[in-house]
Amino acid sequence: MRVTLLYCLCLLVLNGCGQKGPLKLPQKETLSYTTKMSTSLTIGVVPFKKEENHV
Amino acid sequence: MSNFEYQNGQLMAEKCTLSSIATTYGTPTFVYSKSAIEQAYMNYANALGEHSGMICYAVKANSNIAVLQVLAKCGAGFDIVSKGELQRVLKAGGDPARIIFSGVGKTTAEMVFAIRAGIACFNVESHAEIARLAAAAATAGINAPVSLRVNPNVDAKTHPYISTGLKENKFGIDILHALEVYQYAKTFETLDIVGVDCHIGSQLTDTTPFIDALDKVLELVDTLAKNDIHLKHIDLGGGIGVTYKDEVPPSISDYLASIKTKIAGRNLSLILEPGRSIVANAGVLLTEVEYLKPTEHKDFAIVDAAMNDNIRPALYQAWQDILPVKQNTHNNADNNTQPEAKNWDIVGPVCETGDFLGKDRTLALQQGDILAMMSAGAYGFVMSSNYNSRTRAAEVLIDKDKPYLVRKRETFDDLINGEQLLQHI
Repeated sequence: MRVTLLYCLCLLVLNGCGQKGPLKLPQKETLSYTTKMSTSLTIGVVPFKKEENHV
Repeated sequence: MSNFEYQNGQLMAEKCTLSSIATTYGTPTFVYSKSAIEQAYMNYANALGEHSGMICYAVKANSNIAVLQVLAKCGAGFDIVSKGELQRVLKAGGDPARIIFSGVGKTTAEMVFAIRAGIACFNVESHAEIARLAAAAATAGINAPVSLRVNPNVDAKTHPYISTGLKENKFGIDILHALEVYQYAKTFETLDIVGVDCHIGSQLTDTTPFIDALDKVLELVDTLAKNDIHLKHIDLGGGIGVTYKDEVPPSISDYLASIKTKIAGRNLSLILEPGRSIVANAGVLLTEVEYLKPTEHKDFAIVDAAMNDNIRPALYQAWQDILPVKQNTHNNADNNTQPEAKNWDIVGPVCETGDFLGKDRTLALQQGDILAMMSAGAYGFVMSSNYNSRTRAAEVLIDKDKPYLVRKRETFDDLINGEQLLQHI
């Protein structure tokens, strides 16, 4: 039990838990956001198309 | 022969110049030829000949009451899909006994209204609708004539989405289950079973799928007869295509001849529900060039008609010809030369990237030119809207050399009709 708690504490310290200051987004996430924006803009200029069928 | 042809450089509608119509009534304006509507209807009526039956014009294609009046005078029946369409037909002088009520979502109120009006038949599309119609007939105190719309599952040889005869769509009852649905309908004393209906698609240029569907429907008619359900009519719906660009539609007389041969000796009346093929090429949409906007990549002619007036190009990427109402009549004040013919995208003022009437059209254009968007008689005005708070276009019907305003251009008061400001702020 003590070993487990110590292990978790070490993980928190190593991962910057309790770190002050501005949150830094990982580079990968920023790229992902850019990609989404690009996709959204592309959809915006593609004309809506539907097949014609009057029944 | 088309009812819209050039004479002495002027595009005519019957004996009227379209340029004069634009001057008198403004733009955008839909212009219909009475003669073209009558000719298209009579093609069907003459092909039906002495055979018992009705040509029921599909009101959804163009529901202006003057257009309906012209067809009613010709003796047409009508295919309707709502109470509103029924009221239009009655207002136009249509005979209720020649009206077929189609559509998958009829309300009880619509059913009762139609039964009391004395329409010829309901095309019914589901178990639930049968039960509702039986109850509506009981409410009206009049039996309802019923035809079941069956889905013969025939590939209409067009795009899958155009083939309403296929199993994957909401329309019709699978023909394999039709017998049990007819037997269910027969259990209601307030329903009179009179026919069978099918409709396999829209803008079809080959009659083979229609004949394939007819074969399947006739098999069903025989099966029903063996089960003591005897039908009086078959309704093959609409769907015959027209020429927008280079399509070659089938001959109406050949089509009807094929059908009549198939049903010869069967004592079955024949009903057809053409819409587009009656009115599409009986109408044009007039529009004025507001601005020319050449750019590095595209040259745009911005006109005063838009997707709200004719949504077919934007919605379906449909192609309709666009012609100047006057040929070679530009006068350039500086050197008296004609503008150079260029490829223009003809676009409207609506704030949508998809707002276009035609792309890459080779035209010699100047600001102020009047253009005619051809084949605009079907699914044009009826699908128009007030998007971008644009008032809807005027409609003019030409009878020989006389134009008649059959729908005035909307005004701002029309635009906000029914809207209310808040009184407490």
